[in-house]
Amino acid sequence: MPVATTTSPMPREAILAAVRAALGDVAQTAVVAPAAGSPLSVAPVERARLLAGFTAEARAVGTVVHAASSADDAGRTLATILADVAAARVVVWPTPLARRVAHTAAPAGVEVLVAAPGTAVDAVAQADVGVTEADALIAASGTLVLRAASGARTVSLLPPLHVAVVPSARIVPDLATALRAARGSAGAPDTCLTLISGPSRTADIEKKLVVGVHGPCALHVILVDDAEG
Amino acid sequence: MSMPPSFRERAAAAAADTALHAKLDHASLPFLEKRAHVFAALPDGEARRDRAREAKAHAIAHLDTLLPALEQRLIEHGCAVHWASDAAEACRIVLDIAARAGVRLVVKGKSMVSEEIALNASLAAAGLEAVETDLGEYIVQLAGVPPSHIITPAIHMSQDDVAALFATHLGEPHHTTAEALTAVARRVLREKFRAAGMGVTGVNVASAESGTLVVVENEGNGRMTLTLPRVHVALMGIEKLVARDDDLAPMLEILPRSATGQTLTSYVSLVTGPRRSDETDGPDEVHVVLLDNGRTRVLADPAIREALYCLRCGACLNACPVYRRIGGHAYGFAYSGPIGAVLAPGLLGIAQVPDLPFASTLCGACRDVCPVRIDIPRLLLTWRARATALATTSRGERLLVRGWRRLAASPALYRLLAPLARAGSALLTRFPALVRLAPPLAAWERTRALPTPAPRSFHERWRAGGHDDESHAP
Repeated sequence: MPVATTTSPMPREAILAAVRAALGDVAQTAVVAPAAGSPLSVAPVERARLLAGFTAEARAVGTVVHAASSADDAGRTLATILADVAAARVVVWPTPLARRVAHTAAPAGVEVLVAAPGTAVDAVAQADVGVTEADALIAASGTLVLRAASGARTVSLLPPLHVAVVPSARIVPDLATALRAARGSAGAPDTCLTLISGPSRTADIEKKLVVGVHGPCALHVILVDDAEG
Repeated sequence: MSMPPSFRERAAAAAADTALHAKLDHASLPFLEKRAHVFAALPDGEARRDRAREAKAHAIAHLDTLLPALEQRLIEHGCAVHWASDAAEACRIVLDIAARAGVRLVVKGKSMVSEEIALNASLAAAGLEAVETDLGEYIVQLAGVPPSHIITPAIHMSQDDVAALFATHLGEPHHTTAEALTAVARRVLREKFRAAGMGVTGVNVASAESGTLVVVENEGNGRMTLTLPRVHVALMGIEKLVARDDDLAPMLEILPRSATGQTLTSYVSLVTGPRRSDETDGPDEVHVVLLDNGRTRVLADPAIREALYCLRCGACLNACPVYRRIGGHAYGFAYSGPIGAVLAPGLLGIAQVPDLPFASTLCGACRDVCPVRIDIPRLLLTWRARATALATTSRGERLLVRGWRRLAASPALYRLLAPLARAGSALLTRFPALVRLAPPLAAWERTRALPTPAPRSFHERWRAGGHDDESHAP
């Protein structure tokens, strides 16, 4: 929903004029842009090694990592997670994999809400568990990449427990690769791309690590080997 | 809380506060250790710092074209872009947006620019409720003091202080764990996030190429602030951008490592614009405020310009022996520590803060840890020379320095007077009470021990061929 630019042009012109005047001495000096691309990125290596790296980094920041052979297997893993926290309400992204896994997992009596345009924020906030499907995994930092175009941003934010289901083929070595892939995959840029590494945390009181500040208190990732299976 | 008016008085008070020193060390030193550890584990860590510095240098040198490019992209995405020459203008812009949207309650993500422009005071004066949502910022807001550290704002308070604060302001029982106190903040602030009409955040870095605003945080309060309220306002200094999307990863690789020793923060949000109609959530309006407030003056000053590369990671604060003894409040400005002592004279004018560049031992620890290798000691020396030229130092001090210059430039005079100085300091070491007879020395001695002079001077040992140097004795 575009809104009109509301600034009076005055400060804009004044600031840009000041910037141009300030840079008078650099105009002649060629300041070379750093090399395009990421020459420091690691070379692509086999998926298993990247997944092992992801798992180690993710666990180091408090993420619980599960491996599943198929979507149904992931459903069984999610069922155990739901039982452990005695979940009564689950909110899930509308992607086919997330829905399939959530519906396989949820026993009778557990309410499953698919978050879609029109879903109230309060309904998401009242869920015990949010289930998403990550768009990419970053091996170097144990990070999930979630695109706003793929599902509601609040599902990975408001419920106390976030479970991300993700085909393990979506692993990339590093942040530079992930950002380039996200950019290449969309016509218009994502309104919001969210990188998640572990549960919400703080150390603002005497440097004591406390997990679960405003966002989820726990983060689980289920790596699915064969998402079609 | 009222603070003494001059930097010297504030610094002197803090330098005598040993409880403060313990808290500062407790907070700063683990950050430094973790920082060293994660950089050692990062392949090509040093090359990545060079790469990040190049990206910032390139962006700052091309601000004239990059700022309009960023603006154009953001407008294409449906954002509104506002330009503010100074703090008052920036605050007025935010108030106007709030008024038009009918906002009564504002939630705030952690933003140093909002501290710089004193946005909370402006919002309060207009009758709006503004709530800080980063736990540390929330604590200092309740306490009614400014943040004392860029990364950990409540670094100067103990857990017991926070418990007492929550008991007084929120009617809570006196909690005895950090977990219980954090749970209180979670509960209270959840309600604020849900009710707020506007969320205000800073911007850690922005890409002009795609018009992307990056917000880095650990608690999830940043995500709440830029997702739940109907209106998101992002405040950014005009120096906060890089030219290309490919420059973002190098920045994100070094920023959390330098700030907290994390590989990456729990959350990084890359925002380009308001919610699209096929999306479930996100703000309906995104406003970006581009703030000058003295930055073009720093840009126009080639000797100081590289201060604009700063990512606000706080590593130089943690590394600084002066910061660790006086804390952030003594600096009297939103940005404290070594980089604050460089930015404050740049943004406010050296005449306003002539003492700040002297709040350094010039040991170089700040330059060593700066992720973009800003030569802070050199910048401090530049400001010192300018402060001295302004004649803000005392006449006695200037005479003394002039005399020293004369002495040090003349070998004959130096040889003549050096034994005298040595005899004098030997006397003072024997009879320390004599120091009180010389006021400038007495001020120096209050927080330091006078060194005992070596039995033989360097010149004497050098003439003897250095063979009898006692430090080489087995």
